[in-house]
Formats: sequence, C-alpha cells, structure tokens
Amino acid sequence: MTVAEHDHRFHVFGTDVRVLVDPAQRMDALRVHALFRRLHRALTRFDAGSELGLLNARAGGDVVVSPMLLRAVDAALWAARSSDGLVDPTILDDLERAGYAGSRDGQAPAPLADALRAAPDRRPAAPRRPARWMDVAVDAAQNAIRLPAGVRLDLGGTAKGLSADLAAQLLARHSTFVVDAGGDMRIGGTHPAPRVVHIQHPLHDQVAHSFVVTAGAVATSGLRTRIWRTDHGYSHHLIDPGRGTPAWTGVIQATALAPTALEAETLAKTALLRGPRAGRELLARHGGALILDDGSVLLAGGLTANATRTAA
Amino acid sequence: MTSRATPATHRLSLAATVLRLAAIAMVAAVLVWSVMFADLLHKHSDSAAALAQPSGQLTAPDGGQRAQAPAPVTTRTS
Repeated sequence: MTVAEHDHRFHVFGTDVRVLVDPAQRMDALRVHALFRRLHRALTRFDAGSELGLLNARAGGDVVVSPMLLRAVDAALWAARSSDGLVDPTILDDLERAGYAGSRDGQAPAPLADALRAAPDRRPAAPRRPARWMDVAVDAAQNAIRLPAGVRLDLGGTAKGLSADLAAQLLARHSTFVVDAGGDMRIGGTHPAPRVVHIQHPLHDQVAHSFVVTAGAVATSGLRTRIWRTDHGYSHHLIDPGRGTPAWTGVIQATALAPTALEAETLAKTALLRGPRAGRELLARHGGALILDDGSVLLAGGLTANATRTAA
Repeated sequence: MTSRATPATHRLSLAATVLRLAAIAMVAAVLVWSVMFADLLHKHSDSAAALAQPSGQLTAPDGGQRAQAPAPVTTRTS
C-alpha cells in the first residue's frame, strides 16, 4: 500500500515549486500557489514596481510596508545575524557588478566543472566590515522600514525559505505534506511518514546521498544553477560579502537540515561560504552534507544513509 | 357478444395509467440527473487532474512496494 498524494507544480521565484498534499485537501495546493505568487510579486528585486523595489528606491527614509515585506526583511536580518554577517541582504551592488542585474530565469548556466577549473584560489568567505545590514531599521509597531542611504536589499534565498515556512503553516492540518521551493523544503503534517530525500549531485546529476526525514526542513544552496561566463572568467550568485565578489570556498553545494526552511537555507548558505572544515562543523548540529570542488561528499552530524531524521 | 367496462374499471385503468406515467417520469428524471452528475464528476476530475497529478510510488529494491511509503523528494541547487 502506498500513500496517495496530489502533486501540484508551478514556477515562481525563478525556480520550480512543488507541493505534495493530502488528496482530500487538494485545494490547499492552490492556496499555496497563490501565496507564493503574492510573495513573489512583493519580494522580487527584478521588478522595480514590486514592494521591495519601491523600498529600495526610497533608501534613507522611513517607508511604511506591508506585513509581508516587513516579515521578509526581518527574516533576512535574522539570517544575517545568525550567520555572523555571511548571509548579507545588502550585497545587491556586488551581485549586480558580478553580472546578476536581471533575472537569469530560463538561461542555461555555464558548466560548473569549467568554472571550477578557471576559478581563483579557494578561501573562506568573510563578512563585510562595517556591516550595513546592522543599520537597517525595522519598526514592527509602525510597519515601517528604513534602509541606510545608498543601501538596497536582495532577499534572495531567505525569501524562498520563508515562503516554504509560510506554506507549511497553511498546510499544518494535513496528515502529510511537502513544500519544495527549488530545493528548500518543508516536510510535515499531523501524521507524517518517513520520506526519502535525495540530494542531487551538482556535477553529474546523480543522487549524491539519500536520507529519510519525517518532519522538518531541508535546504540546498550551491553554485550550479546561477553561474555564468564573464569577460574575466566565471561568476555566480553566492557573494563573499567581505570581498564583494563571488565566493570560491572549495564547497560547491551545501545541504542543511533544520526545524524551519529559513534556518535550513541560512545554514546551507553559511556552510558553503565558510568552506569545507568550518562548514561541516556548522552543519553538525542538525545534520547536513557538503559537496566539494572535486565532487566528494562530506556528511555532517547525524546524516547517515538510511537514518530516519526529524529535523525539528 | 360484447363487453363494456364498468365505471369502476375505467377509474382503475386511469389510475394505473397515471401511476405508470409518474413512474416513467421519475425514472427519466433519475436517469437525466445521473447523466448530469456523472458529467459533472468527469469535468471536475479533469480540471483537478490538470492541477494535480498523483505523485509517484516508492518502490523497494526488490520491485515490491513498501507499506505507506510517501513519494521521495529531491533537494538541489536552485
């Protein structure tokens, strides 16, 4: 006997989103779809007319925003604090200088193996000093945000993780569910069953490792999808905040387990930016996996084959 | 020799005819309603199928199906 689930897929945030729900409550998959659309419209940096675009255009002054944007900015600042500034939402200028000014949705990525051969020496990323994200003021009572003059935000992965968490709240009464926002996923339900999670290898598209999760979150961050050629070599979207350039740390992909998708996304990105040794130490608490430049897989914490994990 | 129906026989025959007609009408109504209901269900399942397809089944290495196994999922760089 197998568990029947309804599988609803759509494309938003420049990535594929998948929702698995109880067939008796399939309409909730559409509600999740609508939620993601609303979040995308408000939080995308590629639309100057989005709420985030309008906030970025009014840096230096107090801007009254929706509770949705307030929460997303709060989540990004939480990620910056908990990563000691490595997951920095204020690196948009650097990201654009690296060649990521517009959406790369639908564009084929450059071959990762070629980029690794041409990449500079590997070294851990560092936080930016002084940290501009510390000067972003969020006034929850007034629903207002003030960005320092000249500072713009990119909510990137934290918005995706937060979206998966908000969708999980919407599906909380389902017996079992999965929300997979381009690799950032929440797994749970009132009666969740152990579910196999595969990690896709970024170099050869095969399964790098598999494990079982009953409830919690899993997120993967890496270089493979948003990587492109430049006049001087290759660039990608994971910026080393201290240097303002793409990070080449020796890790090409990190997968993290955590109670929430926001935490898992933050852990995965931080682990990648820290490099192999410090990244593995970081992932040890909840479990995770690193894939290094040579394609080898480093497991961390309790993440072992066939082990049943509850990330919460 | 001829026979004539009595008034009582007429009334019985008329009542039987009315009953038959009523029964036929009821059967027809039920049939029409059933067809419409089946059509509605069919359309609903089509639209639902367009929105959501059943997920895959987890198959054990020996080809058999594990009990209560939800579909596997894949995490990847996005």
